Amino acid sequence: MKNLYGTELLRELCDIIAPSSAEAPVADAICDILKGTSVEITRDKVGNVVALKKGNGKSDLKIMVSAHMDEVGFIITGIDDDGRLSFATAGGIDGSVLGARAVKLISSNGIINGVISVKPIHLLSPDEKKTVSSANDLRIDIGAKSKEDAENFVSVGTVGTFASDFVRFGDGKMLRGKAIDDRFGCAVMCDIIRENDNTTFDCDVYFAFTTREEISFSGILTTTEQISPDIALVLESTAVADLADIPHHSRVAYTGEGPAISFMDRGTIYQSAVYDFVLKTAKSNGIKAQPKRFVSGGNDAASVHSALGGIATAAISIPTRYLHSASCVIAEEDYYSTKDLILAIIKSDVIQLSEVAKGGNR
Amino acid sequence: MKERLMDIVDAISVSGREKELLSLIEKKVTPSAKISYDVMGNLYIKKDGDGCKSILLAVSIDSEGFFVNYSFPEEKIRIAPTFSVTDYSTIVGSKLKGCGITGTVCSEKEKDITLSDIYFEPDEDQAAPNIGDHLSFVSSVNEEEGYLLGRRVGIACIISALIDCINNYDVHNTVTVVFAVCGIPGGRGLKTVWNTASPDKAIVLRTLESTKELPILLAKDGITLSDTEMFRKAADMLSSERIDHTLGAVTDTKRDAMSVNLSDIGIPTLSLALPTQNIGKDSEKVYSPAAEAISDTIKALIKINY
Repeated sequence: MKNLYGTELLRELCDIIAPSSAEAPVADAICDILKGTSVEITRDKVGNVVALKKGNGKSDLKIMVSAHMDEVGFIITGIDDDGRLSFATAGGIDGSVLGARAVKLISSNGIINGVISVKPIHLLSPDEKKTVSSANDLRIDIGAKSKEDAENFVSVGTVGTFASDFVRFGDGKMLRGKAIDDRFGCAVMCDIIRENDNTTFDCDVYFAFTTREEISFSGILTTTEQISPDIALVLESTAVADLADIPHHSRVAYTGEGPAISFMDRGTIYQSAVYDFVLKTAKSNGIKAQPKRFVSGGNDAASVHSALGGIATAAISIPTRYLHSASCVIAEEDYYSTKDLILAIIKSDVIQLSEVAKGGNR
Repeated sequence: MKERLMDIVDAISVSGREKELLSLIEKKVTPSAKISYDVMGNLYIKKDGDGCKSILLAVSIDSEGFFVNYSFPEEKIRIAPTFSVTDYSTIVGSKLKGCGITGTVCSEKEKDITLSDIYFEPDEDQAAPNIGDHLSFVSSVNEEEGYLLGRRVGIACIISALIDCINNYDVHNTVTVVFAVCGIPGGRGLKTVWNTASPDKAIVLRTLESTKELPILLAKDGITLSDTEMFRKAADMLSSERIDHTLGAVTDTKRDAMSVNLSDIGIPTLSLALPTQNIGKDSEKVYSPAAEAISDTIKALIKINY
């Protein structure tokens, strides 16, 4: 993994099974990837990894770029007599994307394969065909013959995720996989750190790989309080619906048109000073970016924005189809547009960055 | 009273885009006041006293509004509310203004209206807004049968009283007034004020949906309790100064007091409410004597040695 870059690195990171509270394998991989670079790496007690790239001292500003390492998944809540497992979702997963999906569970003996059991169409009543099952009604089948058999592999509290391969499709530049939310952000940060290892920025830049976004937006809070950044750039994935049967005004953003910049979401309303700056930086550098055109979702940015005395915060999200499912889809060029935009922001004139750090609104 | 409120009600202060109103407040306060802003966009006005305590007077000044989230030639302009809307039919026909344009909220349907059905129609000869632009309800103030009427009139009364406090009252303790942003989205602006103001105690002002006709000292405000000692001293002071008031407790979703009270350093708070009817609607109204009394109440509360 250490020698992989770009979306090939993303492929490897997406394959790691790491739901909220079990992010250590991703953290280990990131530490290994960054080993040998000039950044100072620290890991805190809640699992966050921070890579500090010291600036040249020209500015006292601290920029934090963040992405979360966890992915949506499942937590086992009980074992039935027949050996099947009841579960709850860890993160927002709609019941319609659960049935018959392959899953992987993390046991003390290693990874356990399973499938979310569901009645076949042949056995569904007309009423059942019209309804969508929720996690409460479904079970995970790990092939166990009985409760005792299942207990040899898992227990209440065992966690897991969807199991799906990362593939290229369409023109070869559309990417599909689980955990793109938010291993995409992790991969982008790893690329920026390694590709600019011989460059010194004017500000200290903290690259924060955080935990528990999918369940509570909480890992980032610890990191934010430790760093106390002046500017925060939160890398995320945003749900888009650029599909034929969705009205244009409800599509949120378009894949292939660059990262989506939020002026408001379900978590917060962003300072106009920061929102405007990010879009202008994209435009002046010829980088594709788009305003997020629908108010939806929420992410770590809401926690960061109102942390400490308030922090100038931007949410920069890769447009992602079928978010929070086994088959998240992104356009490869959006990966690179996002990386270019983050780098352009970091390299902006320090006087301009100082103004942005003051935040404020129109 | 009406004249004092007109430009406050007229100024745009959509959640997250409150600069127009904050600039107006800045202009209204005495030049000797110490003014500053924080990163969130909250406005602080500080008045030094000789006492050893620091008192914060806090109010969220934002109002309901919209962001333009879809604007392309030949297509309908879509808008997203910054507040919770339970019945979209109630906002259809509303006049909006912001970012240099005016227009009307329209709907594609007459019944069962959802967010997907509403759009913004700019007035004739007006340019289309950009995605991310904000729009505010158009509002004005009227007086009728002892009441002040108009959308935002309640919060305008509180803002006016606080400006009066800054300009005209002597203070014993140092008093910082914060006019906070983003109150409607969960009291977000007030979450950060501890960092800038670091007060010993805080008085949080708000409007409260009520037909009462006196300012209300709140023992409970949302999921937060007023500090017991502050509450007792405040009630005693108002009684001894013969300032008409009432006591109350409310369990609603307003988060302002909680944001201050449960901030990182923990600040004892006291909540004071101006009873207001039909909050957030064109028919919003405040009993005029209550609006006058809120000023006297603040004056008395900042005299207390908490």
